[in-house]
Amino acid sequence: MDAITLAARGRRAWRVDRYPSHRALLSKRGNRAKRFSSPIRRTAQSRHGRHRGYTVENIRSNEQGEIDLEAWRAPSIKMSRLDGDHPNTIGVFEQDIIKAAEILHAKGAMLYMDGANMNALVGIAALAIRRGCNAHQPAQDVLHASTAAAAPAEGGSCEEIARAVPADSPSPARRQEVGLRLQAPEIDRRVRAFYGNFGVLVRALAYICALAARPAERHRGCGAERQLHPQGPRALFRPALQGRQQHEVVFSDDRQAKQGVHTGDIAKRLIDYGFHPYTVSLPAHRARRSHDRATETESSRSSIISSTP
Amino acid sequence: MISIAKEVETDPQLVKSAPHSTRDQQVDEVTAARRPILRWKPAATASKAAD
Repeated sequence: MDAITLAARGRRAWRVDRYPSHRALLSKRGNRAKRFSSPIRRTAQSRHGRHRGYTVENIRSNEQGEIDLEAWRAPSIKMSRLDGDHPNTIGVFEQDIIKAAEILHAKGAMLYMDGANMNALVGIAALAIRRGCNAHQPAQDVLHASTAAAAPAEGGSCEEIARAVPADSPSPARRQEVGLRLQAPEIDRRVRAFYGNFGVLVRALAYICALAARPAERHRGCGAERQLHPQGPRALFRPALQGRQQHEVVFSDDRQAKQGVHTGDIAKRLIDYGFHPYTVSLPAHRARRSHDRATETESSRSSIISSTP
Repeated sequence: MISIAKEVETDPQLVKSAPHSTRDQQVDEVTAARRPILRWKPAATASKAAD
């Protein structure tokens, strides 16, 4: 990580606070676009509304549930930033994330990669190089402390972005020190520093050290490398999206609905079996989808059990 | 999930009326959202409030 911020008081707060920070950066660059884009999935609706003066422009994904590069290249698409999950909201690892970053950077925009989904990549992928930015666009990562091991990568130099967040680590030349800076030269006045996340940062560091330090072991058990979910449920519950879903998966209850049973009923029945139900009504989802997420910190064997709740 | 999928085929009512192992079964989620009872009260009072 080139920079770490403790700015946000929580994950939700960071999702809001980042907008003025980005706007300050982009205004300095001359990008006055008032909209950011959010990929809209075939099985999910965007959760975003208006944020801090920005208007959301949804761009449909392709049939595989991945970002549609041709849509992004369209001259009419003028964006300030793209919010993306990688692996994305429906568990698909974007194959063209590097090309997507290049398109964004060519438009003068930034790529914000959110969030907990990135746990699946810790210790496996160097996001700043492979995903968010590349050599011609100096790389930086921001570790959001309240979501341990989340590593959003944004197009822009570390130094540039660090000036717009209220608390960060010192420059790379002084990496042995970590301190809080309550003010930044280009900070938006609405973004406040918050040092109460320090304990979470320590836990995040422990998480990274525990997993990233043993890539071989993690490689065998992580969401990025294994086929999520055993074939049994796949045969009985129709995946809402055809293709390879790994980190998360969305099932449809089409088959069970013929018997009058819907995904909410199945979730409640899981309680009888001693499992925490899966997410049923994620706001981003259309009705009658069940959204399963496996933990990335479990082995393949145990995750077969834990992946179904 | 495999067991539940089989139950859906053989006894869908079992799944539709779940959960069976909890103190409260089918919670009226609409009423709970519209008229939430956010504070514990003794049983007699609570019963009256729920009405």
